[in-house]
Amino acid sequence: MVRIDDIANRFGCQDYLFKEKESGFTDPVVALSRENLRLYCCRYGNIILILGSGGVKYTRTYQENPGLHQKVKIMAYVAKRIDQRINDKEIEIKKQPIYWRLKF
Amino acid sequence: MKENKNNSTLFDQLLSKVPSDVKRFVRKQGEIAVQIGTILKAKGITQKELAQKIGMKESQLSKILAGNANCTLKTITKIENALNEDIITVPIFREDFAPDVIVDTAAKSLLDKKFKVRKFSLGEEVYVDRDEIYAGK
Repeated sequence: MVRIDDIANRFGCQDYLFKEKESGFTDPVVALSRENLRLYCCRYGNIILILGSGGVKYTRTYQENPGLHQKVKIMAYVAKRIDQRINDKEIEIKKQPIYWRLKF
Repeated sequence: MKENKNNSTLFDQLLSKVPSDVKRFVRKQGEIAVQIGTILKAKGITQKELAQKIGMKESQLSKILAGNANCTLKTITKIENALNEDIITVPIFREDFAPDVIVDTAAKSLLDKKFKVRKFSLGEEVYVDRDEIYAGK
């Protein structure tokens, strides 16, 4: 909670604060980790972070944990749809303001 | 986010339940991570290079940079030495000592090689070159 608050209000989404390439693709899915807790997110630069879901990682890789695997897949799907909409110009990322249509 | 009648979000309510010492600890971990990360980027040093320089496993350094490590003072000073920059500074206060200058380092000032100087008594902010401070001006 404290880390999310600091990311939102003080640090920004600095890349080194996250575990990257969590879904194995070259997409914006990253993980915020704290010991063996994982919160999967979509990160766009240092300014946008979409929080997803997560859980406790008991296994060496998330793929070995069906629950976590599902949550990563969901964020990968969200990232893919956002990318499609950015390509289709339905979503624009500007410094201010941000225009989103996030209903999938 | 779900809001209640007092206009605080669910997130704010949960955050307020975190013990203050835990908040302070997690914040400090994040601040140290961001300070190191900022210096690395400013100096164009990779994590791998820094890890090699201080004789640390890359995975261990990655944990520090993720803000998840409980660094010893020894580790922090090793990193400071390798980067030739302060990661943490400790203000020195004495009962009979009233400083008229407090020197902060901010990420931006590292790039400019200047310090942001705040006049303690007046609350006025000026930028002063580091060499001028050491020259006692």
